Amino acid sequence: MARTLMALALTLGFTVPAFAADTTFALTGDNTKIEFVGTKPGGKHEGGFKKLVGTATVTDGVLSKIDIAIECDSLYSDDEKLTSHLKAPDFFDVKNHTKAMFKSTKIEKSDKGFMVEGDLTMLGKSKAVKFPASVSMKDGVLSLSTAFTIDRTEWGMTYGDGKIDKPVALKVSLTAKK
Amino acid sequence: MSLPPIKMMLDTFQLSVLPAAGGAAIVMSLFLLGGKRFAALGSAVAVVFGFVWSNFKLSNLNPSDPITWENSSRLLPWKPVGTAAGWQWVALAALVLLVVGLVSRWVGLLATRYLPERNAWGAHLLVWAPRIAAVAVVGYWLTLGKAAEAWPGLWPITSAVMFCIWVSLDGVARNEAGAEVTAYLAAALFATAAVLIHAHYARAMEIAMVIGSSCMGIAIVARLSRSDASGAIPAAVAFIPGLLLAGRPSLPDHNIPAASFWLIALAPLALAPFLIPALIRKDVWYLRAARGVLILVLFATAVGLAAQNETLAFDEQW
Repeated sequence: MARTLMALALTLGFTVPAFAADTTFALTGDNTKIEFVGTKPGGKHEGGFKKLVGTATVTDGVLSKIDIAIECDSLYSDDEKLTSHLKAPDFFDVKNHTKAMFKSTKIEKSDKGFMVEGDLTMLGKSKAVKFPASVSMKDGVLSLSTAFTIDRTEWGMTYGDGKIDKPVALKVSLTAKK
Repeated sequence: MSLPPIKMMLDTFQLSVLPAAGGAAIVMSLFLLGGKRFAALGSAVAVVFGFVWSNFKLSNLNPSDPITWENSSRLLPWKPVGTAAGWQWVALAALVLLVVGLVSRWVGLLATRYLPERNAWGAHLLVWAPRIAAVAVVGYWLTLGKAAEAWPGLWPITSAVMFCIWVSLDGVARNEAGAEVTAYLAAALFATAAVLIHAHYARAMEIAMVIGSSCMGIAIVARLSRSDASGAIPAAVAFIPGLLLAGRPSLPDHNIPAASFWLIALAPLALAPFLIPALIRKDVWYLRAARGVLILVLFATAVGLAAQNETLAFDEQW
């Protein structure tokens, strides 16, 4: 019995510090900016999402997990009429697909920064994406910035093929405090 | 009231109107080479061909990107994906109604031939029972999706409207007015396109243009050959309420009054008074003119209301 209790105490002793090393940061539309640039022959438009919720987890001082749920109806752009069109079933179909999600599956640290892999779900379809990110953790503040490109048609956003370019540039930046 | 940019109208003409109207007219003409008895079947196949021809895209036709279901459709996916919202089902819904419409029509004709006259109701039952079942099923498909969940009763309402307009259109078309009815359907679908473009939904606008153009091609051939074009009616029965009523919950916020949607969807019911026996047997120009004016006034009112309350999203700025 004494040995069992000792083993339990040792196990807890090792486990508790491991949990304690996980720090979770709440992500919102205030501390996280998700912006996009869509292009067409001879022009481009910028936009983003105002509302989102999520978490970023830092383990032992290193970013280990990101989960984000974006409220698609909070979409904005540089043209009011374009915003309405982007919310229509032609693009984000926000009445049927209220949220777009990102869940990281693997985050690796290298000499050049971080490589984030995860599943991006839009229009009910999940596809794996991979992008580089620069991440820093200083004085309890987590900062992340990344810019990468996705092919919108891979999620079934096929409207305007030939008139609107398939690649869409995404820019994400967050600054979250504990 | 503003018009879409010239380039957009030319693109729509090139990608939607020409292939759909031309393709449907050619297919209808080919069927008519076999005789007028193939006209109804020809008009049904023609509207399917018009849609398929306009929906098919060749842009990904290269060896490194082989043609698949996913990359060869321009407007609507060939098959709806998993939990797809109702609009993705509209082509499949139309196909089901076209098949059920044709088969039930042939069954009804056979029943009329072999059933005693006092049992004529049996033939009507054989025609309309499967059609009622079909509109119930496709009404369910068309109201799938999260947006429609917030609109209670949308499924039965959509199915009921589909059934009522089918009865009305079929009744008028049965009396030598197949080309006339198909022309009304073309006008209804063009009006549908005009309302939906004001609601910032370009894909649905183009789908309505494609089916409307197919109906226009069929109506022209049917008028010139004085043949039946009523086989195409079930396609419009699916597309008009499918896009206007079942599709409404999916639209982004807009200022178009509900009347714009209902006026077009229910306009075929304005033909119902012309089904009374005293009128239906008269094939005179003033009755045809009255039907045409009545229908067109309803469409014009619907489009006018939409244009008055919402600006077009597709101006030159972007």
